[in-house]
Amino acid sequence: MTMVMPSIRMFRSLAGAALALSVGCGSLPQSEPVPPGRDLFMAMQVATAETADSVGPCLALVKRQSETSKKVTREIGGRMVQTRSSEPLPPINGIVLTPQGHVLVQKILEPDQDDRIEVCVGEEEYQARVIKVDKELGMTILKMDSDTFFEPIQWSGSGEVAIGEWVVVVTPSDEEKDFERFVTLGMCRGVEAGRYRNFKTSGISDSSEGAPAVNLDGEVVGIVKSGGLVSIADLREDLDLFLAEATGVRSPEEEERKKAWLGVATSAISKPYARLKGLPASGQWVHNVAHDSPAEAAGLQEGDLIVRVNGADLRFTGSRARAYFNQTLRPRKGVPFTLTVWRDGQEVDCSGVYEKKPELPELRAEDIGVSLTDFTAQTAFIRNLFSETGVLVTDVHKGSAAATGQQFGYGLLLKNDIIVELAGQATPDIETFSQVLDQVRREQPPVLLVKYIRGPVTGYAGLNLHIGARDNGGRK
Amino acid sequence: MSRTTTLLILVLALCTSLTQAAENIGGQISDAIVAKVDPSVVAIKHEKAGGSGFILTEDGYILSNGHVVRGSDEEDPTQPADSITVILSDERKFPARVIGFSTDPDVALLKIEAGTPLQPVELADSTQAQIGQPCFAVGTPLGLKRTFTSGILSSVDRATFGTFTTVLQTDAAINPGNSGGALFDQEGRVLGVNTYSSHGYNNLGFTIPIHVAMVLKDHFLKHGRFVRSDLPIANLSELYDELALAFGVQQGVLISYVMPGSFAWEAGLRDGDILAAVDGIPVRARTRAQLLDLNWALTIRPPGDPIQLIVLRGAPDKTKRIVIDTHLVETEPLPQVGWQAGELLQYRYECLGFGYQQLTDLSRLLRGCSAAEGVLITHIAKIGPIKKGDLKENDIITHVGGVPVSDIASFQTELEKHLAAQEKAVELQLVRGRVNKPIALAPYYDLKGLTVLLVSPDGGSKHLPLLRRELIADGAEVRVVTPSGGEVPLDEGRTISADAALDETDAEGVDILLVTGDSQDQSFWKDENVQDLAQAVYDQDGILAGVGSASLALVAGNPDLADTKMTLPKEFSAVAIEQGANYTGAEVETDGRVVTTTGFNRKTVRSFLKSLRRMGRNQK
Repeated sequence: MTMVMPSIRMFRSLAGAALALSVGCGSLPQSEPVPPGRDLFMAMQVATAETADSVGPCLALVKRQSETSKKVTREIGGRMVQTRSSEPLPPINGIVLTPQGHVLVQKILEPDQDDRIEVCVGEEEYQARVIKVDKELGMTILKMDSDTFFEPIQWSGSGEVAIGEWVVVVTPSDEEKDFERFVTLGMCRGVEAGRYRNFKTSGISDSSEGAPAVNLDGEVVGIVKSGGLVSIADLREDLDLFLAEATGVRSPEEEERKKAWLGVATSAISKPYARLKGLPASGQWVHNVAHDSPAEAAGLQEGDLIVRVNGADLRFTGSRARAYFNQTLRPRKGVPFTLTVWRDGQEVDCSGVYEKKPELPELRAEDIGVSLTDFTAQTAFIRNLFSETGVLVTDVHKGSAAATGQQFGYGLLLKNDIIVELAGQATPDIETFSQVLDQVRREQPPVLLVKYIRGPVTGYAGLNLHIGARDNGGRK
Repeated sequence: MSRTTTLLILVLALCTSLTQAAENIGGQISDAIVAKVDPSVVAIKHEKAGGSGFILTEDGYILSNGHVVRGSDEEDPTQPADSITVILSDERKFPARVIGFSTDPDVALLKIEAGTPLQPVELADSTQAQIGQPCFAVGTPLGLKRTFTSGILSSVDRATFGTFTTVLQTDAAINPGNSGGALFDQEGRVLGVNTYSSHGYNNLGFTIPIHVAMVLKDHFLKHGRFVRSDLPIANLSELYDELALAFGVQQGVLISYVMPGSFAWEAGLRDGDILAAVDGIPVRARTRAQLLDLNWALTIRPPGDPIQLIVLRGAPDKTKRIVIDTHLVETEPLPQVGWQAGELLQYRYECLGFGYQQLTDLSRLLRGCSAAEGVLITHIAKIGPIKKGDLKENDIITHVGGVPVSDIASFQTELEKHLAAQEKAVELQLVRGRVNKPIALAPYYDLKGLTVLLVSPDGGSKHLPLLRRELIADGAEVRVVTPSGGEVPLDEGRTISADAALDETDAEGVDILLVTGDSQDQSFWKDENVQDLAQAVYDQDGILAGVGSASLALVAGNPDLADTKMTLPKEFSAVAIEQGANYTGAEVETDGRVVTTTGFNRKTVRSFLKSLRRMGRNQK
């Protein structure tokens, strides 16, 4: 049941007139009797229009001037061929968070600094850029470049929605639709459980994703996401933290480098097993504790079962338990944590502080044609690598010696290979690999022998270093 | 137009028409050749699909592809299709028996009893095949029988298709249905067995050379399957020029990986060795085609054949020459990989929702499994008692109820102990990558509270292991009864003792009487003990279930069941009708409290179990 009204201004005047009619303060002739119930209906319509007005100035329409590449099948020369066709990206609904012009959207936007982002607030348009991305929340904060003061959204109310309660969703627009706002009236049909509850609401369309939802008292209760409303009550704390971090940040790349970690590899306990042994069914098994990690420092051990994070019980089972656990952890450098684990029949508290995740050295070996990185024992554990030492291939450069194999379409080296020897010398890490590579460059052998591990088996590649050189046949 | 010009034009026209005539002769297949090959190519049809084949001998041996005759039993990829019919070029039809088949190399040998001598093909020497030589294919593309298509040999040693041997490539049109048919040379001699074509692209057809197919034919006649020799597990790779230079050798074959602890490892081979000679003869594999040919030559040697290898080991300036005297061994049954459908049985517990297989060294390598001992999970059903994510394909179950299990037999024995006790949840320990974690399985036990008397002939029966394990997993109390009351064989070399002898068994407390016998078995028809039991169970409102010819024993002699619909294998239908049974011929028949099945194949038996389960639940 959706009522989309094209012009709130027009309608409000109508509603006002209708209200006046139904109240009938003696000032108008009662020439036509109002049908019973109609006055309640009118009252709701007025409330709807008024709540829409209250959040109106806080809406932002985010437009990205990048082009999506869409695979399209076309007929060329009598055969069906797949080509790429460009279409502009659809606009996203955003919410203004601060007077300085921070905007929240419900999508993860890649912080490509070359993309042009324009945000439309009211009737004005501003340039904006991506400041911070939160993958667990699935949201991005942008900042508009402007000295104007914006009206931030207020979500200080309780933010609860009861089943059967009506909410109003207001979405922004731009000059294509003449800066009118769109209003959707929906009813909460149910609640989907999770770390952030989702109130399933009727009448919500995909195009209103990211827009705020307001109850009939004018309080913001949620943000449209995944066909429902994500509860502001549940989100509020994490959103505040997200915003606090964003306002101090200069660029998203910097943020990536400051990533913090805990350092455990976990998996959810099997529910029937938990029942059988009388263990909490939402627990997370610790399978591996990384060396020199906050988890190790806090005393976590392999075989522990994590049951509580910072005093709050873990919830749900199976894959939802894992999502809940990850969303609850939220490692931030310098933030303390306490994990309660079940060990040898009793509960043990492990306390520590999240630290910045150590960066691993990387190397781009252009002459061979591979990008490499070191890997830790925990990476070897998680990815089931069959070597504890070596350098991991993260990319094979097209057209290089490593990419040109015996069989068409296959390279001599593949992504995820572990190089263990170069020119007969062991390469347990990037540093040693670089040293050996330098030696190879000095000696300039015609071929380079690489020993690698692919899955569980070893292999050898003989790289012809003349292949992939810049001027081997192409135009000078 | 001047006379010279006219003359010139006439001469040109003559030359052109002469050339055209020459091309026509080259592209045509003469009537004599057609008459030579046409009677030898047959169409093959079975319950699911079909293809083509060709006659090898007068008495009715027929060659085709493995994938044409293979069955659709997911649990046993070594089973051919159940009812195969061969249709000769003159439309005569005969049932065919599969002597042996393999899916890589994709060859099958069948036999028909035609009664009259058939016209066999003449074989060419496919090792002498030349690129560009004209050839033509005969087969049944899309069901169009006796279709001739022509082209040339586009390649004679295609090695990059992923097959075990090199294959011939042709641009003669090969379409679905041509599989198993022959590729003939200009003289009508068979070059190979048409096997694959690339769909969506033009004129790329692949044919297994006849010299390869003949080796397999000999194996099928002798052993019923393709027996491969190997030095497990040593991976051979081509030693292309750059690698040869890098290793400092002129030529050879690279041994890129040797599995630690394997036979090849114990024999002395190591990663990075260069194989220089086999039995005194220098070997080389500069290209993939050469590698496949070398590998083929080793594979077809008999297991146990002594072999001497000379390997070069060490850095280019300090290469050592090592002599290894060892012998070839038979390869383990192959798992499913690439074109290979697999030779390993998969066991399924349908009511528990998973399937498992023996874990072989090669399975480990292909699936990246750890060195853990246990059974490999190869199938997870979409619905069932296993909670999502608890158990996944490629998991290895290492313990059941805390007891280590190293193979199928021990896994089944341990699991059955817990299932027979109808434990609410069975604890399993699994290994997934490097993760080692416990899970529990909570079966539904749909037949809990029911007692099944499972009657089998003394030597066991084909479907007994499957019936027994599914009924136990379903929560029923299963009592196995045989005429003598002795040991009964199950699968994987297990045996169990029967719970009682037939003449010492009564129907007290029995809810379901299940009588099973192979289709050829007639021992239970007239067995009075069985008939008495059937009467007694029926009188106490129990269910009567029969698999195979044993079904007749359930209804014979019981006047109440004279009109009950029942079924059994086709070959006994006459006897059933004679006895006055209401034989319907369906694969599974249910009527009131009687369920019977022909026991034709595993699928039929599973369908029968579903009906039995439904009836059992209604009974409770």
